[in-house]
Amino acid sequence: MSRHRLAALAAWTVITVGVGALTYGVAHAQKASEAPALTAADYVEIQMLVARYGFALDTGTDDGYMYADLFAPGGTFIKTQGRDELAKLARGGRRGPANVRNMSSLAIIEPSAEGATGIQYAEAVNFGERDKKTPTEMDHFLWYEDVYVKTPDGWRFKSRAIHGENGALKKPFVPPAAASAAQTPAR
Amino acid sequence: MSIWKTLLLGTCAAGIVTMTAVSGQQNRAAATLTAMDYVQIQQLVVKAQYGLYSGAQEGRMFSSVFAPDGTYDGQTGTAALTAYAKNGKPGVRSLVTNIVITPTAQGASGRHYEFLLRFLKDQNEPVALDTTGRYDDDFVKTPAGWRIQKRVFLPGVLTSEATKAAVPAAPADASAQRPAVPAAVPLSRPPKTAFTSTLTPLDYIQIQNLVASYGQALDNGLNNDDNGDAYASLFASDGVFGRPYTTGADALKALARTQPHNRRYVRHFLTNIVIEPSAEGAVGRQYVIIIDQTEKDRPARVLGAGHYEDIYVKTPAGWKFKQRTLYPARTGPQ
Repeated sequence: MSRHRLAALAAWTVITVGVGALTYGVAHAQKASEAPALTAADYVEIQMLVARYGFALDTGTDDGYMYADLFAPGGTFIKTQGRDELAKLARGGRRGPANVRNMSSLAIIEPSAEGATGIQYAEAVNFGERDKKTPTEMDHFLWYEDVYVKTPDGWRFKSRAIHGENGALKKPFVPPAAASAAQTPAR
Repeated sequence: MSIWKTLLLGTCAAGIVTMTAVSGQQNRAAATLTAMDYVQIQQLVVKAQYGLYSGAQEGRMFSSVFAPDGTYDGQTGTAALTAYAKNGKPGVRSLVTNIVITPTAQGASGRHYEFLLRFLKDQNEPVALDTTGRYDDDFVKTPAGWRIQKRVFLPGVLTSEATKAAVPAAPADASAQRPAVPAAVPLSRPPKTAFTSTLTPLDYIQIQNLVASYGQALDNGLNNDDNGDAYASLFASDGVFGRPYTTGADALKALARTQPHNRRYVRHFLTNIVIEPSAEGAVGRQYVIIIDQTEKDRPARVLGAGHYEDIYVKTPAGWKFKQRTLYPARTGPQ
């Protein structure tokens, strides 16, 4: 092989490798812009968001607004949208004898173009009351499908949908003593 | 010496130096895990759960969290683990809780609890509590990221066996005056500046680990039959358990030893671990459901449920409970 041909081959190799590297770099940068990596702080803050969800919904703290404020402006729970409408979901209804608690595992969190998405298993449990000797019973099992966005106030739900694997809320348990008391006229 | 020999020797020497440096880094890395390491390992645990029960991606989600030669339940390697999870587990789902992750020389180890929920009928029916158990994992950092190298499942043991390990409480001294239950620790609205505050992501992870360890210390002594020492070690030296009011290492050890416990016992399932910064360090709360495994292959039963409210303090030995109070379930706003 002549020296001239060797030089040409070397030049082509450099060009090919260079173009390849450039293509990889551009492709990688595009992928990164589609789904930027999440930091440890992002993961932890999203785990705190989904953990707080149960307490906010079940206790109705701040008249339901602790729950509503877990959602970004315009955020939706299934089809419910708007701060006041979301707050209503956490106000009453599930407390009292049914006393349901939304217990959940950690969420599976993936980066996405608009922030992150998540899947989370959860079980609604009707907590019994020790003093009234009412039993704690399992209710329905579900999984949440989430989209999270990072707002100026931190990570929030952009949307949260539920997929019931089975079941619906049971009728409230009424202890026999309470049922008979309810039928006895007050003196 | 020819130029080739010099080059060869030089290359070998450089290789040895590089290997030594990398090996040294790995040894140093084994001593601690970063916040991202913990996060990625937590993600493996929940992906394994979802993948196993749902059969997502024809079993590939489950097998993808294992190392290429990873093992679980007699299955080794990606193909075997994919086939194992391919059909999911129709009619049963689970919650995983109490994920505790510990750095090891090889990477990390982990333990977590699981309780199963069995679907009884079709839609619109409640589910039934089924069996409980614990997973022990070895994690390894591969070129593709953290993976499970080895997973072992330990079913919960029967009550009658577990209670043999419990030490009866000393008779209460009627003349002793117990201090009142500490005041509640309310959560604030979602903190707007959570990560510009005093807590780093690693602080949150370490407190998650502390909280998850609580159930395991009380139930199985963190894999050590003596749950008294394991339990007391989670509290600061002036730490208080609020109900019954208990403080001091000896009193806390005595409290723990009255609980049924042994290495395979599973009982305190903690979920929804919420942590937020406070002036003193951090505060938080979790739901707890206390489940008692009954006879073999028969459903477990619930002993109690409620939530904990905590104050955490960072000590030279890491984050500890400064105050922890159990609030049994009651009706109405909490």
